[in-house]
Amino acid sequence: MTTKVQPQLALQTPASNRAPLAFGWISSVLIAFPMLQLTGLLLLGGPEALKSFTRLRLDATLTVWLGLNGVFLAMLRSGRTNAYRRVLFVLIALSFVLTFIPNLLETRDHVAFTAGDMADCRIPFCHMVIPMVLIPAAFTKTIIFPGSLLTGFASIGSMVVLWLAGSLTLGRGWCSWVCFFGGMDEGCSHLLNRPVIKTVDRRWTYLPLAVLLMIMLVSAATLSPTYCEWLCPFKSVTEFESVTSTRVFIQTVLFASLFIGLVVVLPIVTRKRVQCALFCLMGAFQGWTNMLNIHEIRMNRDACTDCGRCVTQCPTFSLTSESVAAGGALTSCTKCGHCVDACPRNAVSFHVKGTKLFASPRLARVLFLYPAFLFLAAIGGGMMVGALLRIIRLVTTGSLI
Amino acid sequence: MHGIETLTQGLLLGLSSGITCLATCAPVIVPLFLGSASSTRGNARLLLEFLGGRLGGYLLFALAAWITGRLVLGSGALGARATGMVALGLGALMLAYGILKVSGIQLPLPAAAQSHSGCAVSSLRTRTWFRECPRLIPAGLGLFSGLNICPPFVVALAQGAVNHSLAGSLLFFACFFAGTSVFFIPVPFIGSFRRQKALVYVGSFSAILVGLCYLYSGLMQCLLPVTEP
Repeated sequence: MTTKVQPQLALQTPASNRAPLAFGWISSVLIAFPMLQLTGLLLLGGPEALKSFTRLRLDATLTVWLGLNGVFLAMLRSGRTNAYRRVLFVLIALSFVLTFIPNLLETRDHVAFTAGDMADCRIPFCHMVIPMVLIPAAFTKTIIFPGSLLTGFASIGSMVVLWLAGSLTLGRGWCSWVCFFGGMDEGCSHLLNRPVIKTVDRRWTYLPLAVLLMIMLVSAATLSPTYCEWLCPFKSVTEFESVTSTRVFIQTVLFASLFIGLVVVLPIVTRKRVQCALFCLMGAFQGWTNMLNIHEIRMNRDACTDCGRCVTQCPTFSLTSESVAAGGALTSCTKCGHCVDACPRNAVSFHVKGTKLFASPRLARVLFLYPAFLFLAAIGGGMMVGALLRIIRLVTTGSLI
Repeated sequence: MHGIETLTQGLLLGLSSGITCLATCAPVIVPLFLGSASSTRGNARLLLEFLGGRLGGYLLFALAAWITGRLVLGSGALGARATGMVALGLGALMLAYGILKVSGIQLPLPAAAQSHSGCAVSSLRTRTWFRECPRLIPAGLGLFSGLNICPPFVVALAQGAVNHSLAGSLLFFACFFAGTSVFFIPVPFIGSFRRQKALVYVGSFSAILVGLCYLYSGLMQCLLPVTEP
């Protein structure tokens, strides 16, 4: 019951193989044009909003806007999805860290939060918390998180609305296109050319569901945000409680260990997104939204030669020889497009449920890429602009803040 | 307190706080039943074993409550240490259960049973007992869950402690147990998922994680200094 980690590295698929999904220059520009307008609206706002931009901010925003649309155009023109997505995804994760911590320092003068911050509900809410708060919210009508419901930075209401929209539109595609944490372990998973650990027992793929179950039960029993208090690896790069007791010290050690282990070391040695695939409770929860979502990955069994390339390349263990034989991916699929790019026979493609299989893989891909890229730009665009401004500030003044 | 009054008070308290009781026990029960993933009948047997252990825990507490009055709860240090020991026991059992289930390890035969070449029946009995001892885990978990202090239980303990007779205290806790147990009736139907092998792994991994939580909680309560009220 083991899965081989990819024995070979990067995509070696000849560019000509991507022809079925690639568009010509004119078609690519025409298809990309509405995206140019939509992302422009998202990043630049209307004429009134533009007036409030400083020259530096305007330049940074224009740079990000053009960069994002250049990547989208390249996706359409080349027919490749994952290679471009991955670059943006990692950049967004880095931008998030680069903007989040200085923002905290600017708004409350310290990164580590205090009992006072919790009492005043000033802890930013993130999507990872959503599965944990559902049961207590349903039974006790209480949000077990010390964040602001509607106002302020990363309020609970805004994050829940964003997550609902993203989940309905992308399903677990959220984890490869929207989540601003996922790029960290994805980036680390591409640092080595070959995996050191070549096989991973498939039983570990059930661990995220166990973490989800355990956190939901314990949070409901104790009415406390257990995941945030004990298991979130990303506390190490966002915010954490001031170490004032043995309990907080142990929590901090746990956060750091989980981050180093799951986000840095294991992704490097396995070349897999270990935190996303084998631990993340949000990822496990998002798997269910894949059932509601209309986009999916399908395998054309007539073209498939069962070479197993897609199975070994999948970064989240979402393909097995059984699922390929059945013509699809598991519900844990994050729709990153890696298998689509990797298949030497073009047997793997995006598909819209309810439509004829493999009738128009190009159209199905564009129908997925549009909302996915729009979400990526909406979430990551602002972070990238913020990060660019912070870097410029660092270079010119010597300080991020 | 008269018998009927004790009976109805215990039962009503159990019925009124049963949901909270089930929520408190859920981190133990759900992984246990998912990990076992037996038929509904098999799960009903498992539930009876668990509830039997839990009744044992309640009655032990009833005895303690009657003997010590509020002493156990009143003394911060003693109470915390006792609760810590219970959490340690619960954590160790959950961890053992999860690891045995995930790894599929069969307990090895004891050396005595392996080398025993005399009485075949005695050898078989030793072997069977040792191999089958994980089957005591549900009852053990029930016992430790029963001893684990949760909000409804604190209310019951306060009430049970004021009983003047041991019989009254035992009756009160038995009725409290009966009242809360009503909410456990749907649990055996988790067996409906038994064909999903994935759920067995999910339950087993959850048992390990919950076990680690209880172990940590127990260690902290046993090792850290307690502030006296």
